[in-house]
Amino acid sequence: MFGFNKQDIRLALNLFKMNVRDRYLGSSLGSFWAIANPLFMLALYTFVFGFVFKVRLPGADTTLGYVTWLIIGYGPWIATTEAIMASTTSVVGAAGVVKNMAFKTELLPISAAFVGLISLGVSLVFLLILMTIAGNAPDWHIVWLPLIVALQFFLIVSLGLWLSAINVFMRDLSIALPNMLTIIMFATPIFYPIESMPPLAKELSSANPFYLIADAYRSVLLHNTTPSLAGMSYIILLSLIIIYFGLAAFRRAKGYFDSAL
Amino acid sequence: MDSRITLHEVSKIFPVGGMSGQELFSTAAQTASTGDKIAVARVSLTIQHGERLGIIGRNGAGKSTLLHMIAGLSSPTSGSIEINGKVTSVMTLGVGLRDDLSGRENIYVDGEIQGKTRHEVEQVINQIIAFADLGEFIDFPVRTYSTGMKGRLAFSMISHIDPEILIIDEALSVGDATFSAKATTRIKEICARGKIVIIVSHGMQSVKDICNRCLWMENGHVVMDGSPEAVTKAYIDSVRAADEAQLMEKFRNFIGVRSMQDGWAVKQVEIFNGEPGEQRFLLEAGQPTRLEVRAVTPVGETDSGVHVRITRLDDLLIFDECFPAEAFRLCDQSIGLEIEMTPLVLGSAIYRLDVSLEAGATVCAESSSIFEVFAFNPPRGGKPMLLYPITALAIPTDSLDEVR
Repeated sequence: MFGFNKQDIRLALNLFKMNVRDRYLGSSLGSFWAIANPLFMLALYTFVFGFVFKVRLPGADTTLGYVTWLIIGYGPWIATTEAIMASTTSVVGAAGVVKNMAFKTELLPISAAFVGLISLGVSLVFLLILMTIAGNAPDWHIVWLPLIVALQFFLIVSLGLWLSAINVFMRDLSIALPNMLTIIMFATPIFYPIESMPPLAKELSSANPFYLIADAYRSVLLHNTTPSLAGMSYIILLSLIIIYFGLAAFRRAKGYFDSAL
Repeated sequence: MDSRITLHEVSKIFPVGGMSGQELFSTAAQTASTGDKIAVARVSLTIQHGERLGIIGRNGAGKSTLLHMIAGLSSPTSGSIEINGKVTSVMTLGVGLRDDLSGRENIYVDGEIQGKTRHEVEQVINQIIAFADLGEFIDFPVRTYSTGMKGRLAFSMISHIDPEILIIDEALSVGDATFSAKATTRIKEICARGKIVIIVSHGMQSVKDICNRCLWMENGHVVMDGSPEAVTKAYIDSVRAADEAQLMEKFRNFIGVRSMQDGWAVKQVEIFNGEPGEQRFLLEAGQPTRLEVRAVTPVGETDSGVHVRITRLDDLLIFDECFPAEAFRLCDQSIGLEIEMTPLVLGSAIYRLDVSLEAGATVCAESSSIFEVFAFNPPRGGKPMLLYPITALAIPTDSLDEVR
């Protein structure tokens, strides 16, 4: 598929293992940070929006209601941010290997993106515990969850292929990217309901794949409904287009990596 | 199936301003615009099964660029490369070493990068550890290793590859003398197993030892393609000639001939070196060397002398002797003398040769020139073993050529 064979999949798995090890097991507290980092971010935003600004959702006026709603949207977003950043810097970060070993370099941004699975897992487990304690555990609709995760990472991988290749030639990208992601985060209805947006922004948000992903998570986990099939089809189509051209561009550019690294 | 590599009109061009990212978008083939660096220019080449090719040339000749393209690390700007067989390339040692992991863990990581399973690594890990011979250090973090130990570990990791087509860049000898010898032997073994071997090296000896075909590259072009003996010899000769020209250029201001008084002139100063003697400015130490001086002085000047001085460029006076001119008179005004140094005992350095004609204490004419001595095996360490200053015997020129 996409010009990859069994050997490549094994290499991608090895690279993923190495990424996880480098990221979490290299520091002395190791896996502690894997859990602590997303929880810390969740706690911070919960405190600011839930207790300082006292944001309430229309309909549900408890703080806990808002906090659960926030975490369902924001937890996956943390994973997206981490995955996109890891993916973008993957080729430059592995310069030594890229310049010395002939292999499918496409595997670098792909395997780096999946590092985001770790923090996504932590957020989701924390969330499920919280919801179970609060007495509104999700029902059977949770079976949709793996599909939503798959779509989320399909989108990330397709973006990562572009970003990692561009970053080789323009290193500025990895510096500008955190700011761009913050802008996207606040432009996406993650901290506030889409209803509080002006009409035009509301229209635009329905084409924002990151909003559609957050919305799908909320449908499945909070509202116990089937996620919007139109939204999911849109994400698949969008990702397919991005990855089709991204892969072609990456393969065209990778012959020049060794002179730009 | 026989392995085979075919290159057809392969070129690689690096844009002047570096990479801009247009590679991502444009599908059109690039062409060289003015000032672009052409690293490899239209190289066509066929490498057959069983050939062990050595590529030599100066820095920046395009050797590594060509090698990278054959290894699939970069793609040619134009032209095509066809490869039958599986390529294993070793470009730099130890890129994948992780400081925090132990030597043993690093061997597993290296296997992971190459897409091997844990089981496959386990089959060779004991051989690798035995070859590296690091003792208990194999279980210590790599950051506690010395540079030599890191090199040994890295070399051992590649020492068990079983290549079909093997590509090696630059010298691979690492570690102390014992390990280095072991490594060189292993490289030769690996090369003997490979169906096609391509190496880039600056060591002419290793090219002659390992290869059965040699390519000499210059400015992206293949200058010569043939047997290692012939090509390395041609290459060394050309490097020597170019160095000589460069040396002359650099020290031109030292070189000159002056006559201060009428009737006095140093006509010719030549140095012959080697067997048979050739006139050179770049001399090989240990070879027979002859210095020939031709000059004119007025007849009857009894107090005149030929003063020959050799000074190393750091102003160490090596040789300083004055010969009475009358003893070397050829006819009328001409004098000629030869100084033999067999063998040439000077060490590698740049020297200035001053020849002056003196009447009493007055310098009447002089000539300065520069020469360089190189040694294939320069001494290392210890105290100098030569008697200082050196002396030499001067004899009258045999031939009675008229000095013009």
